[in-house]
Amino acid sequence: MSSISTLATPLAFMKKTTTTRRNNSSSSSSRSRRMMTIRCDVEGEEGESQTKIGARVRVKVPLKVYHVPKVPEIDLTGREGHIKQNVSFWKDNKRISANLPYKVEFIANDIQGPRGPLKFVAHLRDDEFEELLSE
Amino acid sequence: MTSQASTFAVSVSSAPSPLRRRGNFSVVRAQVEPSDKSIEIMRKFSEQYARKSGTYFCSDKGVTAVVIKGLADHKDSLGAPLCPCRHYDDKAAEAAQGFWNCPCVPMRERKECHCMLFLTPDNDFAGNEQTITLDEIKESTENM
Repeated sequence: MSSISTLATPLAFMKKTTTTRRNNSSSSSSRSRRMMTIRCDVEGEEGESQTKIGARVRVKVPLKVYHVPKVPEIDLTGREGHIKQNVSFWKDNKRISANLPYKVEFIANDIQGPRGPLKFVAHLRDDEFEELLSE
Repeated sequence: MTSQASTFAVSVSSAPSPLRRRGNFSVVRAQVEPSDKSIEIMRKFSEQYARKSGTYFCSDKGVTAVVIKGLADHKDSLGAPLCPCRHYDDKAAEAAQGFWNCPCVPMRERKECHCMLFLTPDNDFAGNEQTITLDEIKESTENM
């Protein structure tokens, strides 16, 4: 018989009826009747990064790092590694505002480490590397 | 017949509270000063790290002083010198995780310090000093 408006009622419907009421009400309360929807899409973010962990990647921008012990400067351009971790997710539910979220481990065959080829870790942004499709 | 949920915005205007005594104003400044001990610790750290990394302080030492003070303030309040030039949603989590703990990851790995505390020699704003005294810090920041 009478339509009952609940939370499930589409917004457009409610908006329409509020505007008709608006004409009757005073101008001071008209602003308060405007309804806004704020959608916050967080869903895609976590799922996307989960697939990237463990992926083999290659650095595609000119990049040098200076933090490797005993090696003052290493040129990372073109080097391949694999993603170890996304540091922007921490302890289940906390978010960290890191601007270089991807921790990538490299194995440099051309540099000798203490036991075999040198292994080191560097932090990268997602636009600095490209995923290598497994052959 | 349709039932609607209607919301009303109520604006409450409060009358200004009358001053008790005219001309007797006490200015409350909500400013937390970092402790001298923390400033000294961060000053020493900055000098030592600049030496170690081959970077230099800004030619305008006021910049260096403000950053050192900010680091000291975070060290006092959070236990770790979080980068003072960034905004955080959860400071405690950031301090515990450590990405932005000075020296932050971009500085450690790439020698990129956006606070302009540690500048590589090729930087236009780099001075030629790797030292700063406590007096210089205090003088540069006394009017803050």
